[in-house]
Amino acid sequence: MFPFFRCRLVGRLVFFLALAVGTLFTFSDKDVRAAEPDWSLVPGAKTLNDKQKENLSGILKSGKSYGICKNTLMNCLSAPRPDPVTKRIVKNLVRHSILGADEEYLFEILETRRLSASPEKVHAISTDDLPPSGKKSAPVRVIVYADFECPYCRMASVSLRKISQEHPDLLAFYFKNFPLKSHPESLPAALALLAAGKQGKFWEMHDALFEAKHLSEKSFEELGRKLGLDAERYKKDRNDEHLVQEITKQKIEGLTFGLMGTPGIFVNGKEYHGPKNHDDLLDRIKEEHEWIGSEKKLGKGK
Amino acid sequence: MNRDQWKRFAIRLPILAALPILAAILLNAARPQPLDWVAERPYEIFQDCPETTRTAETISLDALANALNDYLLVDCRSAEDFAASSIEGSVSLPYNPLFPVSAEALADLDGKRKGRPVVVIGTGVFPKLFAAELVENGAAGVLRLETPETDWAKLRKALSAD
Repeated sequence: MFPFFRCRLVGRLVFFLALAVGTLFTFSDKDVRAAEPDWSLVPGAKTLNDKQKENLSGILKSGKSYGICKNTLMNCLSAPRPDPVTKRIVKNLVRHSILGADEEYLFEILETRRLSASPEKVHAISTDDLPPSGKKSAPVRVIVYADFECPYCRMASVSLRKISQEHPDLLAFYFKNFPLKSHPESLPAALALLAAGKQGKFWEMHDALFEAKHLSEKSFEELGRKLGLDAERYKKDRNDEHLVQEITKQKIEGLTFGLMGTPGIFVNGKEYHGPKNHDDLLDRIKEEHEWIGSEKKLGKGK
Repeated sequence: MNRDQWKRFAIRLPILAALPILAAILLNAARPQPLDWVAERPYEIFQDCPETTRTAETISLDALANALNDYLLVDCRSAEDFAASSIEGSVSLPYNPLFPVSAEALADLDGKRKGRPVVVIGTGVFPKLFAAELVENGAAGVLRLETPETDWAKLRKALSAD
């Protein structure tokens, strides 16, 4: 009897030990799974590799959305009807993760998006005398303060120009000069732009100046010829003191808004702090359009 | 393969490897905007062209107000604004957003400062930019206020001797 009892005791001990260990593992496994984002809810997650998922995981769990839902991105995505702003944010973060952004950078991107979408101050910027690219009546108005020798201005301005041509009903794009003192050809280039504008070729000259490999007096003359400008008038206007004053006014305006470099981009008066490429700019423009739509729905529109 | 064939292969191999590289370099050079040499750069997207890369040292408004005579105040607002309202003892040197400060203006400033440090005053971002420009031009002992002031009347009141 004794050996049998002992055997049953050992058996029971082993059983309970196994149960305890099993329970422990089951719960710890559940905890781990609960901490992992539900990738089926994340738009575009199918294309992510393990490293990219690892980079995204932290921001999805702790990064906050700034749409109607103010919870963490993952919680907002888990809602029965996810907030479109959150979906847009996550889609953008997934894209940057694929492009190589690490976790720290993804948090920076989220922060700049938040700052761009809901800044402390919205500036009232005049565009009265400027020709728009896209329709003047478009709901989103973007103004860029740029320098023709700054490569990031080229990236931003060329992208915005393309977006305004692709979506003329969505975007009215305006260009203002902000020539940097460290770039010797940027002021003459700005003068060439305004002089061409006087002959109705503002945007054609804008495109030509950003496409040009080198900027010099010779290239300004050549571009004028290529665009079929009245050479004499064009040369006279490029030396016109009034145009220098106009550029000074535009730059001072940018400085007054706090710009300390170029490009300075304002989307419906809100300073944009994000990446200056086509996809990110288009994303911000579409976000702003949705924002206007949702404000109108809520009765906050003009 | 015999020895001669190996030798020929060894000579041809680097040539065959170099040809596509050369073709890629030439094609890249022909692009309107050539691509960067290094394919995998660090992921850096928040870039811009700064107005200035230099910065001037700062001084608090209180410290300046308490030792006003030890510094030369350089007012970088427009000449019209300076004529309308200015701080006693300050000199006008307007900031030009398009053109760099001239050598004559710098020499003139050197004559007026009499060895004293210079504090650039004004409103908004202009004193910060102008002070940085003076530093960039080799001027020593150039300061700006720690906290930029947007209200000129407030700044004038804080720095008035009475």
